[in-house]
Amino acid sequence: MASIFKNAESFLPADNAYALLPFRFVRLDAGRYVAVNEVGEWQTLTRPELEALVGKKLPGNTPLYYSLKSKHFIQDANSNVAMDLLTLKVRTKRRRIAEFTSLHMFVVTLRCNHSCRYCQVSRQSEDRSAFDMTIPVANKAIDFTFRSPAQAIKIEFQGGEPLLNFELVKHIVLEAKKRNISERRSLAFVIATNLSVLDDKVLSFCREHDIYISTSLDGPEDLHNANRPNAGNNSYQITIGGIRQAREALGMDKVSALMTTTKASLPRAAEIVDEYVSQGFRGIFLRGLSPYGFAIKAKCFDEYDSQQWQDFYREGLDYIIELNKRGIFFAEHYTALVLRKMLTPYGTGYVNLQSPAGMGIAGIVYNHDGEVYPSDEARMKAEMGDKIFRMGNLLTDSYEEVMLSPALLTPLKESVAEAVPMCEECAFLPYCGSDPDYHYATQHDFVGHKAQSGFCKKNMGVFRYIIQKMEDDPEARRILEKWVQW
Amino acid sequence: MHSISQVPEGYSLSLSTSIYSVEAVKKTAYKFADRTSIIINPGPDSTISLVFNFAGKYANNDPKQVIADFFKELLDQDLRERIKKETEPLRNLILAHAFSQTSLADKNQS
Repeated sequence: MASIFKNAESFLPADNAYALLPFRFVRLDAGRYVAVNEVGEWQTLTRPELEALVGKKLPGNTPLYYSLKSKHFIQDANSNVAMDLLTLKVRTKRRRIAEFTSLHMFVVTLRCNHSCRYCQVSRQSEDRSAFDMTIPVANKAIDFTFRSPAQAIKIEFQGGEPLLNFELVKHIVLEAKKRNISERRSLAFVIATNLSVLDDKVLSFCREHDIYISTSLDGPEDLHNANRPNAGNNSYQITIGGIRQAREALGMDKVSALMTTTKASLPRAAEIVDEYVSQGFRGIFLRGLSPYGFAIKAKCFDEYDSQQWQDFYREGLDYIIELNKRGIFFAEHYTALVLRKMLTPYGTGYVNLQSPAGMGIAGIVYNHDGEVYPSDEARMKAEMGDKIFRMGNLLTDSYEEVMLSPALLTPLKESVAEAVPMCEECAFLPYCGSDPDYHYATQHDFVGHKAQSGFCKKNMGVFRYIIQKMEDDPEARRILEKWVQW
Repeated sequence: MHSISQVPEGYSLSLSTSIYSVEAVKKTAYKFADRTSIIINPGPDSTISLVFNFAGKYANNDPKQVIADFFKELLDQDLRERIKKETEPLRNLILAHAFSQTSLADKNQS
């Protein structure tokens, strides 16, 4: 009986009869290159293999040939689907751009009872109600929130310490939920709090309205207290007590924590991870300092460079992988974000790894006084006296005027990574972003010279290390793959 | 490539533009801005001259290592040019096709 299928030999390529599809490459380490295609699929190669690939001298019927073909680096006469599949994946990766803005940050007060020396948020003392958001400003911010095309909307309450203006938090939650009866968006709320003024009234409201709690935990007690002083009080004990209290009231999954890396953190990566494990967290975000607000004023940002942070990150990641090998599930969240870009056809909502930049598109900030900024970092700059990113004011400007403001569009247009020197040819472009806030803060330019950019050095180091781990340690690869959220 | 010579400003060498494009040389020089300052000038007979300066903030860098790395990167840039030449129309086609079916494309533009 005649087969309706071609025989296996028919699928063998004639040697050298393939065409290249778009990809970029970069040195991975001393002996290897990594090539990455338009949608983030990668292939490691030696220099001779890379030259053979480009020179059309790669033999067919080899594992490398089939790997490159299946990842859409090459196409031959036996298959014409690569272009269509790449197109589909590009569209999927970029879907979020049309659905801007999903994260809406409400700065309900600038008052704070902590005096963290690295704080990127400019704070005011507790008793100055002039720094509270008012109900008219909050209502306007809710109007703006629902003008966003995003189907999934997250309202995050920030400060200062937002619970010092809890009555306004309640008003915003109730009003937003009322509006959402007709809007029918996927609506979520988060309170970013130091937990020091948490009480049963707050927790009861959070439970009733399904509100998440996000707090700061920098590591072991001495490190946390040194980083986050709270006049006369033990900041660590307050935080740990608050986490326990919030979990009991809301559930384990409703409470998350963020750490900030200071110079004192650098030699203590494993201890910091251990603290998170012992407190029952399932992951940690090894987060470097940002060059904004009090971090600049107190000169914390300059206390270590991107190479020192990378050493800290590598030590932390290695330790976390070892924990997983011992059967403890625990993830590093920044790595997990990057892995989602590397291993799935989807993008992420993480503001700093977007091109076009995430400012205004991924997130937006409504300050207590009605001023609108495209990011928390931009707000910090304004508090320090530089209002270059000010998009407008809720009380005087329309949504269109704010979203089409040159303060937003100029940095967005200028910093699209696909058109930026060094980025446009970088293999890691599909994983990275442009971050005009950072480059303006460090180089006074939205684009920045990437050879001198700490952002570039840091992320190049992270991407290289993750790929090396995935390539060189099969057990680590299996662990890292489990961190990816689909 | 001619041999590298020491000059008052640093290290000088010339390159044939029949081997490396000016674009590739410029891109490589840009990438090395954190390790050295490079001045590019036209030279005789399809050559360009490069002067590597290691003054000021570059003083602690090893000139031999930086120049050796420069040539490794220049070879990479050369390869990138070959890939780009072959694949750029395909990249544009993929992106155009991907965005043609979303609301991101301006339907008023042809």
